[in-house]
Amino acid sequence: MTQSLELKGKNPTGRKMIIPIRCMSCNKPIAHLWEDFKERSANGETKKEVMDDLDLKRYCCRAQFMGHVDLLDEVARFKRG
Amino acid sequence: MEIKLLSKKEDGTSKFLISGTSVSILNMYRRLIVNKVPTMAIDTVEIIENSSALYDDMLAHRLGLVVLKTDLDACFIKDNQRYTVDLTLEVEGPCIVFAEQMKSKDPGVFPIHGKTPIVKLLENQKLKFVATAATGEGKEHTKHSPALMYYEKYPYLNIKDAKKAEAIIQSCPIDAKKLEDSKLKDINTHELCPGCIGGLEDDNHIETKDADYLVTIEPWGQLTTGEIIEALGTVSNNLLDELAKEIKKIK
Repeated sequence: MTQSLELKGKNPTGRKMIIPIRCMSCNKPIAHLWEDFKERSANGETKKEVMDDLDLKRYCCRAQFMGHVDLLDEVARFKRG
Repeated sequence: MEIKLLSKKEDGTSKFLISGTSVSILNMYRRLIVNKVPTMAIDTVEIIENSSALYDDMLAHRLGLVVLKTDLDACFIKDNQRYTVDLTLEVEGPCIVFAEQMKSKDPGVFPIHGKTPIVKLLENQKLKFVATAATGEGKEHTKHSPALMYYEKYPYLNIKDAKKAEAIIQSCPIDAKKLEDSKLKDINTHELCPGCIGGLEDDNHIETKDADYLVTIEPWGQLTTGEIIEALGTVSNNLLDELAKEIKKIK
């Protein structure tokens, strides 16, 4: 029981807490574009415009940005273990 | 074989028209680029202190994927000696740890995308590690792959009707609209996008030739496109030499 709980805690959060360094499908480095993307899409530009401008042309890379939620800030407040 | 450079973007993505070749040859080049052209990447990480929310192994995995600028001369493994460089980092939160904060011992080896976030630190959280970057090949780990290469048959547009050309220019969402003087000549050299293909009523306007290919090399940053092609030559020569040697042994 304890073991399964541990695994539950580790995998799903570990995967997507912070933007992946590279696209999981095509290997393109994408992490450095995330802050820009977040800021610009919060300032009213559509996600499509921003992604086109950042030269994310394949749908694998675009999916990484569309589906990502920054959970690290939330998770970091609790004790690791 | 004839190679013509069609376009080159700021990030190094280059398109070539290669004529007089075949899919099997191009696929060999593609596989050599992905699997055999060596680059540097962080290989081992000695974590001294990590009180961030990410586990040590997650952190090491992220560090491994960081793109490092590579000196091509150092890449090729000489006398079984891999070239290694240490990168160190020591930070205390609250902050976002960026790849550019790593201090490299070799000024020629550094993270290309400095603003790559490694981890976020809150107050009282610390991170300290020594990472060792080493040369390696894409067949060991995909982080060593220098580029993505893909190819397709070169689409020659053949439109004789001016009205049809105009319609395609109107329907193209990306490039064709930028063609200010919408002449037949321009549209016939325009690279096809799905929007253009949608504008074509039938496929009769697209012609392909058996031996002409549109090849794209999209480098990730470790090496420039030129360096990748140079290394491709060295790699394939080495492999062929090796093969020749083995064949001689059999004789």
